[in-house]
Amino acid sequence: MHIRYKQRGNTATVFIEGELDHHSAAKVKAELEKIIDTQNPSQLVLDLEKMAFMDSSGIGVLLSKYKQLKRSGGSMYVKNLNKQTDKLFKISGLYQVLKKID
Amino acid sequence: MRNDMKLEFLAISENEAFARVCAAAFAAQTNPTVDEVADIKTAVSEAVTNSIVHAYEERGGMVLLKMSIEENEITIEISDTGKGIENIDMAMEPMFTTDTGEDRSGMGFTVMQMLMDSVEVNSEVGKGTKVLMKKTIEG
Repeated sequence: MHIRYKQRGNTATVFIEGELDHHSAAKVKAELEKIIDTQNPSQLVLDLEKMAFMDSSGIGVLLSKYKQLKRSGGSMYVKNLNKQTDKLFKISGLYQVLKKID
Repeated sequence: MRNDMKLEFLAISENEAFARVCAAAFAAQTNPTVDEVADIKTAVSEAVTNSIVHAYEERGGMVLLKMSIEENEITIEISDTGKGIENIDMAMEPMFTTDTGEDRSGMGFTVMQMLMDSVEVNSEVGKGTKVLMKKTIEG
């Protein structure tokens, strides 16, 4: 699991690479928390192009960070989901809160 | 063709990826599509994570993964001897979680049900839980 980010203006783009399951969830949560706390972005975009696997533990992490960002007035988006992750987002209804952008 | 396998491993998070990769490798004998393999990996990951997080509350124990192939039907059984589920119907409700924080989505069983043809859960409080899932591989 590897996370990197770039900031442009008020938008932080976070690239999550590898597998997001219960094993890696704590690390991903901590990294996202750090980015939100230190960069204070008004928009956070999760680029999932290189995320090879995700299960419902990942849903829990993304939802919890979405709520954190929302409390501080920010918004979160996702982009470049692979077929499996897209299916998981549809099944779980996650697209209702995390909008997909191009 | 008929084939069976049995795998027992420690209930620690390092073994979540191990379990789903083993399940995918065994299922490969049925010539599944990439999507079908992804469905199996995700469903196995959900059930194994439930054993680690809920049954054993991350204090260890053993998880048993059994799989069988009969023609193009795959049966997956994941069992533990953890604390068991008090109310299975409630546990299988979407968004239900016993976690008091914000970290668990409560979507594990829902995801299993959506990706597999059938999911059956048997559990006894204090004795453990068995999840039985079936999927027919179209290829």
